[in-house]
This record gives sequence, structure tokens and C-alpha cells, in this order.
Amino acid sequence: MFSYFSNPANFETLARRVGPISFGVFVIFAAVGLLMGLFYSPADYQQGHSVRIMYVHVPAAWMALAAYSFIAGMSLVAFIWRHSLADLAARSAALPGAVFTALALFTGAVWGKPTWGAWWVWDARLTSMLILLFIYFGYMAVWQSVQEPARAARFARLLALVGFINIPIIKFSVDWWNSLHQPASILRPDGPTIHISMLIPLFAMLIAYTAIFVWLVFTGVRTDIAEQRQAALQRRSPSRPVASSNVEKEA
Amino acid sequence: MKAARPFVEAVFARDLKIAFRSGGGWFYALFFFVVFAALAAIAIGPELSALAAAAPAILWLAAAFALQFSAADMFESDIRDGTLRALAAEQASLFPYWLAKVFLLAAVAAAPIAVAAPFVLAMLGVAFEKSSQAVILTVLGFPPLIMVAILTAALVSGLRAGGLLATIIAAPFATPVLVFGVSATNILFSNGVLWSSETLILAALGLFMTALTPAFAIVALRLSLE
Repeated sequence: MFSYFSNPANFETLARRVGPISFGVFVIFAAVGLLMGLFYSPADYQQGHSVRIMYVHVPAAWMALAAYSFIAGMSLVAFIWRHSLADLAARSAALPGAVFTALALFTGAVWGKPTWGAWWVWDARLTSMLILLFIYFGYMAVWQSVQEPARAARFARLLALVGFINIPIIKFSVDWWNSLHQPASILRPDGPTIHISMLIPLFAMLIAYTAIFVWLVFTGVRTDIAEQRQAALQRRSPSRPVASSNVEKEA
Repeated sequence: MKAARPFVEAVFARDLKIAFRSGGGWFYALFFFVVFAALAAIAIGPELSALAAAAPAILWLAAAFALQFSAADMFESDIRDGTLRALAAEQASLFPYWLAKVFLLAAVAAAPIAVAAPFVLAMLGVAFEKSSQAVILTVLGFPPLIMVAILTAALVSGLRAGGLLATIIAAPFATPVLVFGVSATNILFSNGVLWSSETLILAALGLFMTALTPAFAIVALRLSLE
């Protein structure tokens, strides 16, 4: 399957199908999730209506981690199998991932103001999300700093992998450093602690975020392939119009 | 590994000779460390109690940046004059070369800073019997910083961006060392306990980075030759 999709033409056919589908899924689930989250879900008895920020905040934080895991996974695929599209997929995931991270930080700040009384607190999760944002910045900067994409890809792969191995250590140390954020309340062995009427819009938003991420990655890879093809065409064609063709036009 | 020993010694001796030659600047890391600490003290103000409270943070920040910056151009000359290309072609592995660079950074940057640390801490208002024990913490905490500095220097050696990018990339890796270095130092200064669990985790970070980084650093060095 890997080698099948390393052919850009095969990938293109897949992307033509998956792209619109994922975008459709995004529109439907975002509409359902936002409607339910904003109008048809109860306000929290302690936090009031500000709890609704959860529906944009929690999926963003999840996707921020998922996107980096995707980058690391694609980097591993590129490293082992030299898959031609894995690097492009990893690169296309970087900007959405960084935006998800920034969104999680921003919505967290907006949520933190009424709940904790401060825009920013140096609590463990906020701090590790901030460091994740720095990891994204470093990864994107490596891509930026080399002209030839094939060469940049090799350095970016290495950084993505070694950074991924290091993430649990960072998480552990920042947790040790300080903790104030409420503990995870969905993924717990004894079942979720939030009510089903809040859980449904939350999962709808999670699906919506995942779908827009899939769409962005596929679009990014397609754009990269198109750019490569255009560059190849330009290399083949002469840089200036040939003299004879000018003569023909004038004549 | 036994066969690699003369090679490590030769590279180390050569780099040490370059570092001690005029313009080599073996003392830059130490100067940077002292200057950073002095600037921090000037920024915080002359109140000794405030300085003593900030001393662990100043110590680890100054040391982390000093090590990071002294590793920044570590591979430049070897890549530019083709030495690294020759070594990569001739040696089965670049691991001995990496090892020599680790020893070099430890000898030229980390060791002088560790020796100077108690005196700088004493200037920041920490009692000398406590600040002299902090040397043990630096001996445990500098290896992971050295590993990270060399890894990031190797990663950017083939890029055009250079030192600043290396520092940005290194920040997430250095975070755990800062967290546990500063908290271990705080515990030492406030409770007088040297072998706290934070100190042990600091030592563990050194082992972890020693296991993790060499392979990535060596691959990055080979990539920079392509």
C-alpha cells in the first residue's frame, strides 16, 4: 500500500476523493457540534456559559498532539522506506498543527480569564503546549532554512523523530514543575466524568477538527506535488521565449 | 571501540590545541557565563536576598546558553575545509568523532563553568558551603546540556540558519534539564539536601540524552556532507 501511494498519480486519485469527503465531514460535524455546543448543551453549574469554550479548546489541544504524532509517524515512514510523499505529508501537517496549538493556547487563555482570573498562568499543561508550539516553530524553521526540499526533508525528519521521543520527558518534567490544570476528565478508566449532553458536541467537534486536518494535509501534499511538477516543467522549457517565436508573433 | 581510542585522542588533542591557540577562545564560554550572571544581577538589583532567590535560575540559564553557544560553530571549520568529509569516508563510524567533540565541549566549556559556578553563586549571595556543593549538580546536569548542544549544532551544521536556530531547536530539549537542575539547586540551597529525587532525575536525564542523541547527531553530520 505504501509503494502504491508513492506514485503521485495514484495519490492524486485518492486525494480527489478523500479531500471533498473530509471537507464535507468537517462542515457537517462543525455545524452540528457548534449548534449543540452553543445552544443545546447545559451551562456548567460552576463555570456558567464559559464552559462552552471547551468545544473549541479541547479538540484543538488533542489535534495539536495528534498532528505532531502524525508528523513523527510520517517522518519515520520517510526515514525507513524513503517514501516520496511522506515528507510532504509531514510538512503539510506542520502549519495546521502549529495553528491548532496556538488555538488551544488562545482559547485556553480566553477560558482561563473567567475561570482562574488570569489570561495566562504557568500551569503544567499550558506550559507544555507552549513548548509544543516552540517544537513546531523549530520544525518549520528547519524546512524554511534549506533551499532544496529534498535536503531540507532529511534534516526535518531527524528533528521530528528526536523531538517526538523527547516529548514524554518534557511532559513529565513540566508536570513535576507545576500543576493547576484540572485532570483529564474524558479518558479515564472509570468512564468520563462529564455529562453525555456535553460529550456529544465535544466528539462532534473532535471529528470536525480531524476532518479539516485531513483536508488540509491532503490539499498541502497536492499543492506540493503540483509545485514540483511546475518547477520541473519550467526547468525543461527555455527561460526566455525563443527568438523565432517572437518573430512569428510580429509577423 | 578500543581501536577508536587513538582516533578520539587525536581529534580531541587537535581541537584542544586549536581552542588554546590565540583566537581559539576556550575562555569565551566561561566569560559568557560570568557576564550573563553579572547582567542578571544588575537587572535584578543589588538586594542579596532577592539575588540568592534567583541564583539557581541564573546559574542554569547562564550555563545552558553558554554551552549552547559554544557548541554552535563546533562543526563549521571541519565541514568547510573538508576534514569531516575525509573522516566520514575513512572511518567506519563517526561516533568516535562525536565522542571527541563531547570531550572537547566538556573540557573547554563545561569544566571552567563548573569551577567558576560556586564563586558566581557566592557573589549572588549564596553561602559558600552550599554553593560549593552545587558543583556536583552541575557535573550531573551539564552532560545532558552538552548532548543537546552538540545534537542541535550537528542538525544546523548543514543549514544556512546557524546559531539562533540551534538555540530555538534546543529549547524544548533543555527544558527538562532546567526544570530539574533549578529545583535540585533550590532544594540544596533551602533544605541542604544534595541527593534529592530531583538530583537523581537530573542524573537520569544525562543518561537518557547520552543514549538518545548520538545516533541522531551522527546522522545529521553525515547529512550535512551531502
